[in-house]
Amino acid sequence: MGNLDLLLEGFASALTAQNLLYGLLGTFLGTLVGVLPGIGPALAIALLLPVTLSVNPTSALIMFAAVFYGAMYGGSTTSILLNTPGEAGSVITSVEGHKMAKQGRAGAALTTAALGSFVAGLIATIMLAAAAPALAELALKVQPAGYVALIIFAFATVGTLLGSSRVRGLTSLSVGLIFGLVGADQQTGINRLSFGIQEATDGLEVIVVIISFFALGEVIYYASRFQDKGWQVLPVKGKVWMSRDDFRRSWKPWLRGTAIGFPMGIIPAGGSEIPTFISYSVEKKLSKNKDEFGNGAIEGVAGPEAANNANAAGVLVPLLALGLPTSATAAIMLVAIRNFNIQPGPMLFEMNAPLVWTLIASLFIGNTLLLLINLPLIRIWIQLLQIPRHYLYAGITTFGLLGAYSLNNSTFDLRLAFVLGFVGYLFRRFGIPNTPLVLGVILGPIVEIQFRQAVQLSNGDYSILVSGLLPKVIYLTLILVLFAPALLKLVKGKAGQGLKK
Amino acid sequence: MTKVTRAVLAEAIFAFAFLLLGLFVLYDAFTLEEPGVYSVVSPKTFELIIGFFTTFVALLLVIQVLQGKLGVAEGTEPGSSHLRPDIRTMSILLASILLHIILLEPAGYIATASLTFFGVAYAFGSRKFLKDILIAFAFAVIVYFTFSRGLRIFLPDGIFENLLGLARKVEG
Repeated sequence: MGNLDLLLEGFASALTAQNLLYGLLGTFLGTLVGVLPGIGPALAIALLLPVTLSVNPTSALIMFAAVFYGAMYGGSTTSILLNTPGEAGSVITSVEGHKMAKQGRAGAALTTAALGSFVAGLIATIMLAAAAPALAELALKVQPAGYVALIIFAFATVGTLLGSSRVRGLTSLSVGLIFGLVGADQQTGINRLSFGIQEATDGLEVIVVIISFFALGEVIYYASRFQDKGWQVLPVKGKVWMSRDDFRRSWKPWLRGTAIGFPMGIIPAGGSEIPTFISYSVEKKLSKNKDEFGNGAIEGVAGPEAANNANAAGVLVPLLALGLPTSATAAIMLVAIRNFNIQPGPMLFEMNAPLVWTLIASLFIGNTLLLLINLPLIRIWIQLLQIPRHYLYAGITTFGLLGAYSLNNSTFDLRLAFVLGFVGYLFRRFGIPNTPLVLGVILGPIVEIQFRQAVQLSNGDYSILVSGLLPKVIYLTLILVLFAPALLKLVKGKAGQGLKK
Repeated sequence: MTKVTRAVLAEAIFAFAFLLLGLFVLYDAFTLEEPGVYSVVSPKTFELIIGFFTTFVALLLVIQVLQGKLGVAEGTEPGSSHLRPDIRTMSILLASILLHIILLEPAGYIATASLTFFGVAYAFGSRKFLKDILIAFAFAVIVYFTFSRGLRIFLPDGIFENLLGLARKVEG
């Protein structure tokens, strides 16, 4: 059976009344949580994970795809109206979009972001449907040593390219790797770092780690900075729609943004920051209205927003085909998918073909539902931004604790969340990014398994780790990448100059 | 102490704690019991790698901090991180979370979640007690019914659950 047939079958099983209802619920909840200030897509999905615990896998996946796109879209609304980007990928959107909102063009900014996200999501999902099975087929040939190399590549790029300082990125990564070590070793049952605590021998629950760092840590941080003045929500005047001229100026940036964002998502080098920055500088270079950049140019919202969404879909390719998440959001998707005893990776398309095609079909459906319910409901979402800060934080805290408890019904997870929440606050306070930590927790145990398999295959000869074409190519590329940040800084610097103007 | 030296001190403590963590992982790896079963790669290997890696990164961080290259919290102006944290707000918030941990299983979800919600709102400066109590209670009840009854996810029952449970029986 061809992939197209499989995809159509995926649509058939996704498009039942019950599943559509779950999809709608997911879109609604995803946008609802994503729009709340301080909650990015990664946290939104982590918080909503318990909701899917009792739902059947197909419906849950559809709900997830919908939550994913909903949270992404909700995040951009917040960046435009509040100028508090919930994630790195929305930073650029917030710069130019917030300026537009200040000029009373919030409606146009929100619309171009929504339509751009939809167009990018649609194209990127088509490319995902084509690329993921092909990559999975290739990946079947990848040896454990190749996997080790791929994961180290992801670690190095995510750890050093994100955030302001390499050392801080690596700090986050190593703490994540240590969390991943806790508990009984999968092969020998020997307990590492578990202090004789019974619950700890099962390992730390990844979702609890994520909720602690992204939700509790963040709220504690805001408490520590209570004296800061709050944010100001910009009003949306007039129609939430775009003029003919806005359309004319937006459609090319949407397509270019998609073309930049998607491929950069496929490479196991994390971060939606760089593609959005590149999209921004490309749009600036090509625009006839250069002077508008930095003062609310619609191209500066359309391009990066499309790049951000296409990038998020691109990240799903290595996630599904290799089992290799390269963003915090993808890492949580991995945990969610694993909850249904489905292991993403090269075998996924053979072992769970119906389910994975249902997921891809769900991405199309989620993307469409999002456009259908968000544009008309945008004024309701905006109302959410008016929630007083104290209720918002009370809600995030209580809901985060609920998520931590309901995974295992254990107060151990709550105590863990309390301690890790405080560590998360320290991370936030000292400018240490969270994403490398999440990747460390999730990929640490995976890289250990692959590492062991590789060395077992060679009967204890460690040189197998650097033998073969793939590891060699990857390690060479890695060396290049690590010494090329000067180049990237140049790109960023140019974009940065544009912002200051 | 000036603001800047205090900021360096705070971050240096953090960096040294991180260094200790790295050393502790190494200690744990070296004192790991020998596995009863034979494996080509023992569980010690990977822990050692991570321990050395962490210690190395921690040393770099310590050096950076002592050189005065401090971290900047995202979304803040450089320099404003030196502000003294608001200990009072933080304490009330942390206490509300602790209460949740202690009371959840004995007192039940609705009572505990209401209390936590109220406590956090209070920490963040809300002083409209009656309104806050009502909103906190409504939040807890809605969450309880959605999760426990709607999604069949277990949440501990307690005082209010029994009362509401009884009320439901009378109605039905």
